[in-house]
Amino acid sequence: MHYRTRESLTGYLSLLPAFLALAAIVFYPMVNTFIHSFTKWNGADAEWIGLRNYTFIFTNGELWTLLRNNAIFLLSIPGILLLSLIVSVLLFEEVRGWRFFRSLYYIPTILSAVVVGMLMKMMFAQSGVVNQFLRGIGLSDGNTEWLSRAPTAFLVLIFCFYWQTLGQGVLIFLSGLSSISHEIYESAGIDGAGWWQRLIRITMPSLVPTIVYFTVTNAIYCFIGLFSLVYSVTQGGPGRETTPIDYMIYIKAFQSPGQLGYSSALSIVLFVIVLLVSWAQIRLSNRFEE
Amino acid sequence: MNRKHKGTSLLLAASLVLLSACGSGGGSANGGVSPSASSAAGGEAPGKKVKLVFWNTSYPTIDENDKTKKKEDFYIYKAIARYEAAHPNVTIDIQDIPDGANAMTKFQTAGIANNGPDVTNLWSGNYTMDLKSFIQPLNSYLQPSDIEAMTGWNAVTENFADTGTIYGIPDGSDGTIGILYNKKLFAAAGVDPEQNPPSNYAEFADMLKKLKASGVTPIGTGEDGDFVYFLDYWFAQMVGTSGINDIVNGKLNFHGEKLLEVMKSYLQLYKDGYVKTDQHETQFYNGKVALIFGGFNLINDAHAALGDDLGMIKIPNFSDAALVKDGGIGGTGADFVVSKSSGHPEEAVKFILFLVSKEEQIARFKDGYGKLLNLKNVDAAQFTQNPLVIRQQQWASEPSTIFWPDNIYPSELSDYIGSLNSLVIKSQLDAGDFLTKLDQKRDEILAQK
Repeated sequence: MHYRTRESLTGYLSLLPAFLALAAIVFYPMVNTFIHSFTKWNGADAEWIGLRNYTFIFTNGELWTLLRNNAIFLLSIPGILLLSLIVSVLLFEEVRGWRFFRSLYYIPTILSAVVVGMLMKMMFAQSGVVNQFLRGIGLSDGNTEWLSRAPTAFLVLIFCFYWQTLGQGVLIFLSGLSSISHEIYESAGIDGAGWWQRLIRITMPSLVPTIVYFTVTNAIYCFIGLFSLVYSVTQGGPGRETTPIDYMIYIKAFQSPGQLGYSSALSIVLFVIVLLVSWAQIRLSNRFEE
Repeated sequence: MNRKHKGTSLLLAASLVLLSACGSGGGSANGGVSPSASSAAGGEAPGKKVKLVFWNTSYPTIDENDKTKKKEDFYIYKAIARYEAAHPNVTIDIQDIPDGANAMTKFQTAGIANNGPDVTNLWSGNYTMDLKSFIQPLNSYLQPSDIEAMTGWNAVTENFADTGTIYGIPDGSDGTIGILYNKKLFAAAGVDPEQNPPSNYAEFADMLKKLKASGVTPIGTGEDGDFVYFLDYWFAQMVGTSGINDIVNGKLNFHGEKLLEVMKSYLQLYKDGYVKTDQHETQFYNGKVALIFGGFNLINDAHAALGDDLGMIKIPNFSDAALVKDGGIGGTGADFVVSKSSGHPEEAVKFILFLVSKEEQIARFKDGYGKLLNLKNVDAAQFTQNPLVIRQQQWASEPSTIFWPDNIYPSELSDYIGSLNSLVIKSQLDAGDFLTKLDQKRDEILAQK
């Protein structure tokens, strides 16, 4: 065999294990889900029903409520982006106690979403510490039913999301900040640029790729990563008011017998939505970078 | 180069082994022994070892008040020890799993992967029927005498019929859901529900008004408004058992004059401040609320907390126009099933029949288990002095006890009702809209069938 042929054959064979693993773990379930999205499937038997699942999804009105719920989480991203930026800039500037705060902000990130969720559920219960605290300082009568009303339930969920994401956000922005050359800051200082000018003119533009990365990953998280938090805090309630699409996929697949086909179709819809949102974000951020 | 080639071949072989291992790893849910594996180890032949995996969703194996209590001291472990002693070739591997809807989910996923347990408990009625693709039909394993000895077979038979495919074995009885009340708080409000039980909504509301005036919260319910325990009864008694079936089949709508009136009256209880939904059972045990809705399952705990101050009456009729009067919701709400992936269905059924046998039902009843007996011709009064328990057993055998409507609705609809009802009681969803949404969901489920 020719040396180059053998060389390329070795290369392909080296790739094969990873490709096979990906095929078994990613591609096969994806193709399987796609095929089953056109069936009525209960896990044991599947019956081909064409586009009926998709028709149901787009006509029963449920999708728009789910999308609204995902959009609410999506709209909360700028808040955590700003918060992470502020905290990371303060830590980068080495404000007093920065070593302590660096560890403190990261702790929630290492907790699982279920632990965070259970903790928040207890804290925001009617007889929980939050109500006791608010009553103690005279801000409310202490009977607020945080998880029984959609707006306050969303507040609690977004608070959990922020609490858990802050550490990760700070870490990402700190690495972004540390990659900015000190010489630029020194030159700007010699030219008479103040702290704010350095922040607006140097730090922020240099952080655009990091901001894009943070926004894209969290936008994707808002569509596909909220399940554990929603499951442990509100279970999608009250009603279906805080149910995002990924949680509905679970409800349809595992709590609505015979709906695995519908659930597969909903998964495909979610896949397309995430693809479009990510594509739009990356396009937009490319323009920013230019 | 040759060494490189060999290395690549080794890598390839290793990856194939890894992938094949991933593909056959379905037995983990059975503690590492899949039914097929246990089948190979056991088989039906006499003298061969049989291992039955039992997913326990209902028997207590942890004592919240005594965490040092050993597993062997709990009833189910004692029962298993008795069974294993009588059947030396059979080993029961009991595994605790979450109950209720989570049990259904786990059973379904295991069924899809063909690694379900041999035996488990599920909720009966449509909760079980919705999973029948993964459940072994049991007719051929049951003797007429088995069926004759127990009640509750409709709840485990297809279409709730008297005869047909049986998918489960009824597991005891939940009794009849009534009102558990605090006699002391009622007396302080000048109300004696035993002597003057409220007979309709107006009298019930009047009773609650007096309780509230005495400074106590009259009712405690769960966060979903106790739809299953309380509101469902008023629904069912107004349309009758056949009406519930008609609703399920789409012949009758939730949104109608009768049920709308029920909903409005029910919501009025919340609007008038008669109901608290925060940790209702604890609040009741602590004397903070005057009554809760519950059946036999709560009597032991309530009695431990309130002693002789615990009273029990039936939920009042909604109105004189009710089709079923002086009853309640209840019956056999759970069953034992054998998974289709079980390698030993016959042995599994034998084990279940042992658990629901007269001797074992009496033993677990005496042990304080949260279910009444579902045996024919057996009187609970023989085994208890508690008058409330005796009354529960009497109620359960009355024809006015309506079988759990949430077990008759498709399980997806029951879940939907529970989630929406929490919105209704917080006045975030209009009663009429609620009923319309239920009709839409029911129609959607029927259309997808």
